[in-house]
Amino acid sequence: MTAPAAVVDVNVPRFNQAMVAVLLAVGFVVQWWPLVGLAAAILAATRFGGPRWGLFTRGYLRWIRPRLNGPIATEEANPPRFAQLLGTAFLALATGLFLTGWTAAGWGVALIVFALALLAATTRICVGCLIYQRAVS
Amino acid sequence: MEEAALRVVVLALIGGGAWLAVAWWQRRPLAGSVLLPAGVTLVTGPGCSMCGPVEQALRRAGVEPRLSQVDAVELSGSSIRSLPAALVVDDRGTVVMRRSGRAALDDAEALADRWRRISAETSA
Repeated sequence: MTAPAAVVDVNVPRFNQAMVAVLLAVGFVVQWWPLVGLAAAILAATRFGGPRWGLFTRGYLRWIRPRLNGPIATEEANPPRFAQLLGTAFLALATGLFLTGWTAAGWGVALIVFALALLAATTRICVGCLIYQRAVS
Repeated sequence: MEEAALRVVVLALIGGGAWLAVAWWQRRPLAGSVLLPAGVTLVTGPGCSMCGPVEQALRRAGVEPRLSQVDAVELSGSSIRSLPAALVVDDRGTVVMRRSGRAALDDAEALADRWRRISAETSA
């Protein structure tokens, strides 16, 4: 007998993606790259430390989830986790590029993550999740 | 200040570009995809208490709807209750009229009439 697949509230990844998009957008507009590093750190803490260390996840569970009425849809947890890992890797790469003086390249990578995070948050089309589903099928 | 405004425009272009790219990708024709068949299609789903009456109303109005069942959506602790959606499709596969929920029941005659007019135009 196989164990049931772990599931996650569908709003948790969406909220995380929305917050990442906002952080990256603000960082780009004010040209302050440490916000990219901050987004990478928050994603990494959530991915490797669990929801307890996830700043955005905790914010969602504390302030938004109690205000939602009715049943909450769930989805398999592995695809968004993989997408989160990809996002962390790309934002870490962008941070490394900033630290080594490759500012334009750093913003290029960060803006790719911004576009994908915005897309996932607004349309639920999660490219990282699609890559995961392709890989396991 | 002007540079910041320019960067906001860049962000809007990137975000909008991503949306357009996905919209184009989602609407691409697939090799195995088929157009909706000409006629009246009734999209039903789990827990749809109004689907049966809509189907019967369409039959009474003189059309035999093609039924299309949508899979259940998994929710925590509850199941979704779906509503009927009736689509009138012409011979090119274009949806020319759609009604969902209560409107599908109320407008069953109008849906049937629209399909009869399309049939008449096609056969003329």
